[in-house]
Amino acid sequence: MPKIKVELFIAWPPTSLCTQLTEMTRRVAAEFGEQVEINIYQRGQPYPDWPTEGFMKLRKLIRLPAILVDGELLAERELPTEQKLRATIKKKLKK
Amino acid sequence: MSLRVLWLRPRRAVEALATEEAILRCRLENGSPDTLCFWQGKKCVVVGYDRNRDKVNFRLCEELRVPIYRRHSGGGAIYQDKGNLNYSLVAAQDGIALPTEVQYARRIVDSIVAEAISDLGLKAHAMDRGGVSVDGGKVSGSAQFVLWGYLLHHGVVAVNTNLNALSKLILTNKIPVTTLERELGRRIDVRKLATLIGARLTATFNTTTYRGRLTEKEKYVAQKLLEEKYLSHEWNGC
Repeated sequence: MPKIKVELFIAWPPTSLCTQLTEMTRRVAAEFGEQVEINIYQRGQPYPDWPTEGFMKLRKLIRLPAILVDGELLAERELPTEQKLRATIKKKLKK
Repeated sequence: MSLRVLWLRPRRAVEALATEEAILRCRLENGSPDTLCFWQGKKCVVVGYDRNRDKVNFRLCEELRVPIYRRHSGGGAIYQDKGNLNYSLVAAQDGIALPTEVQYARRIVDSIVAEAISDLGLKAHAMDRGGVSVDGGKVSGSAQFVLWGYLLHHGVVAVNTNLNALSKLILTNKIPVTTLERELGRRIDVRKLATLIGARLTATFNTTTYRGRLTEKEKYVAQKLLEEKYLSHEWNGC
């Protein structure tokens, strides 16, 4: 059962940078196994899963792309570093 | 920064929407230059990203065969015809003197458009809620979209729009819409208005302009976006 949710909000169709962000997120999330679930939302497409309350609040304000961890905005408009994403996930899992 | 100026000649307005996004994507990924586009399109209704479908008279659109398209930016529904002048600015946010907060950036570009309209002899003002008004009537609306730090600001100026069609197809216009020609009482050359907007923009951003063309890559991406996105059932959802 996943403990935390990482949400990506990217362009549709994805830009190459959006694809890089998706791949990086998948790579980092894989290090945590089933503890982390990734949901990818493409702007203009139906959401594949029910988004967090944090995402629903931010979705109209967010500038693409955006990455949220457990409903909290980690970065928007730019690629977060792998270290930053990893550290945020670790911090969330410790709670 | 030097600004490329393009005149698009879309057969349908939806082609221009796809082209604007293609320029934004190519600005981001393929080194296309900062660009200012102008275009005019055939009659249609364009809804914002959030659709605002309750504001559109669907039955009449269907009856009159007025197509409805969805754009990439937010905001309300607009009626398009050959009486509108559309403009769009695509630029890197950190490359131009615009704030990254979209509402402030929008206000600045709206003010530039208001100044250009004032150059025609009208008293135009950027409105707090977005857009430009002349004597209490809205003459221009605009919206923005930001992708990876690259801005697409696009807007429409009602030069000689069919207000009768507009009032029947768009159900809720909070502010009365008017046109520049109605307010000025004479014909306006849209090319002249476009030149004034370009001049005000270059003065504000302290830049130069040059006439350019779409690159082959931009044309390719635009066609792909048109087919796979803007004309798709998935995007339009109706």
